[in-house]
Amino acid sequence: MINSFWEEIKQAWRALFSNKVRSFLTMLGIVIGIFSVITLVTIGEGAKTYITDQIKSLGAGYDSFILVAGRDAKAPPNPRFVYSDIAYMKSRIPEIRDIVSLNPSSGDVSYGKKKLKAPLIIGGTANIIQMMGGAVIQGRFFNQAEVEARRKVAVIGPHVARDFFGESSPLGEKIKLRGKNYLVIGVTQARGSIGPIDVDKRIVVPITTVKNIIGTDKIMRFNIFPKDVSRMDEVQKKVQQLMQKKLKNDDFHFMTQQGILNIVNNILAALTGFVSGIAAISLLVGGIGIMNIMLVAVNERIREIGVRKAIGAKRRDIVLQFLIESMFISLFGGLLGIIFGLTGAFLIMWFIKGTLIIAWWAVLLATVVSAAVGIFFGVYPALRAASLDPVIALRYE
Amino acid sequence: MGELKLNDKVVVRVVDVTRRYFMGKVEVNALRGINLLVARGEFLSIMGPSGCGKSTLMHILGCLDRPTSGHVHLDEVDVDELDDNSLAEIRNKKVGFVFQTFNLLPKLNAIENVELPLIYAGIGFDNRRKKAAELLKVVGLKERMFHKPSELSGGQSQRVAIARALANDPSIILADEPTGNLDSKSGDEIINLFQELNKRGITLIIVTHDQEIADHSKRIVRLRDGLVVSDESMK
Repeated sequence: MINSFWEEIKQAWRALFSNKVRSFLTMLGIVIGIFSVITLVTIGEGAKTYITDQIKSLGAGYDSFILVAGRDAKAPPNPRFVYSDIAYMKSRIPEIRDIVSLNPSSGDVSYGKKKLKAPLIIGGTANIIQMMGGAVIQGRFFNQAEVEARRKVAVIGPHVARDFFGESSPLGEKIKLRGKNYLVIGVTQARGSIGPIDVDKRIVVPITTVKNIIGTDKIMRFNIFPKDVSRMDEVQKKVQQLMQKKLKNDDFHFMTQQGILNIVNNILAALTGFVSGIAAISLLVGGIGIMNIMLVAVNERIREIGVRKAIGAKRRDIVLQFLIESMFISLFGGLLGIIFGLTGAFLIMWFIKGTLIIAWWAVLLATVVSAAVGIFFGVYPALRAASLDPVIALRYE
Repeated sequence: MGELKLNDKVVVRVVDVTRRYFMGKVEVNALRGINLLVARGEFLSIMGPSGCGKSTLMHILGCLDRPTSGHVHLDEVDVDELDDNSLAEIRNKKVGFVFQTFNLLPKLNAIENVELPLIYAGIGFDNRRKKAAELLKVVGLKERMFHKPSELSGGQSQRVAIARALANDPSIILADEPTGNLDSKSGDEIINLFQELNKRGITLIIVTHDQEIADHSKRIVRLRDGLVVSDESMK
């Protein structure tokens, strides 16, 4: 049994390669089905990681949650938060370790006659530097006292420093943001870009000084860090009650890393479901193609089947022979699909400078599914081959 | 009935065998009551005009087909009682077929063709390769072991087929017009090979309509219209 099994595999392999073009064309349905799923899943995994990193860089790490103005993510924001809310929340909820806030904006910046078009201007609290993960390589960051005192100081990104000051030190120089002079006190480390945003071309100023840049001193969001990460939900609830009472409405909502990831996962799941549907159709069509070609193969080899039966092949041997052959076509198609899919995903990831993350579960699943398709659609031709009458089969011309 | 000596061992026993089938709507009585005994070591020819039922008889002797009525015993086994799988096993172990058109598998080389019955018998690679090589040596094709059938002459192909028929040391070799597709020289060589094998004690049953070939055998059974009409031993 084991012996004949190995022989069947060897012969199926030969049959596959003695008809290369036909085998390949038969495989195409399977190749396309597996290819599309593998490409999508691999890109999806990459996208998930990419988005997780993005979220982290925005500050919604596993150890914090974000309090955002607006009833929900879709509502037009009408922020009512103010800077003093930080001290207000911290004093009333002792479980809060720290609160970071930033108001992103944009506006032209100039130094003398040099002008920088629309860099990212961030109004932040003094502790924002820790969250953004960039160190100061020259000078220093502004401190809490400077924020409280609304000092017009600025920490600039390395590209801003290079464009305005070239090789000379920017420290102590004054740059103009919307007509107001800001004293440059530090330069941040180069970090490259996150997606389309050039992080190195940004300017950070105390959040209390940005009213004339963004037109309001209201704050969009707070990143709240509880002392105990495991009690995140509890702290969130307390913040909710406190702010409801203070604002007398609940025109705000919360975002957590998990919440954002859930949204991303939902989108990916929908997309995966859609492509899986297409892949299932492709596999079905591919499977029918395999069944068709196996019926042709059985017809071509009626004589061979007769000979095999005459020299002692049992029903089981014939069934196995054709099943293994159809499984091989399908499995081989699946493997080609996996290779093409991973290559496709790699190229796309390379193009958008993402990381290729291979979803091994998908590779394994694709392998199993393609083998199963081959077996399933091979059953009928194999049974037909096995039920041939040897006398008639031997006479067949 | 053949003249069997008392101490001869019967290897084939056919009792009142009939075979009826339909060709479309026409009923064909291919065999109408055949009785036949074959002893171990015999070299028997079955002759008769086309349509006399000799091929049908051969299929029944080779367990490819079942009689409509009657009994067939092959090497002490009552074949009537067996299911399809057991019949396949009998064909594998007790019968060796040689066909007019050789029926080698074109994708396998000579030695792999000879190994095929050994594979179905579940014999491991080393043993079956050794056995197949030995048999190819016996039929004089030591030098052609790894040639594909397309690279062999008709006579050589038929020798490979004979080696394949011998693979599992069967009780009988059944040959259906084994020289029908060969030139006379190759045909003579095959007949010589059969005689050689018969001398070694192998039981041979050849179906043929060629008197010259039948003359080389030791006994000739003639069929007409599904019945045995004569049964004579030579010499």
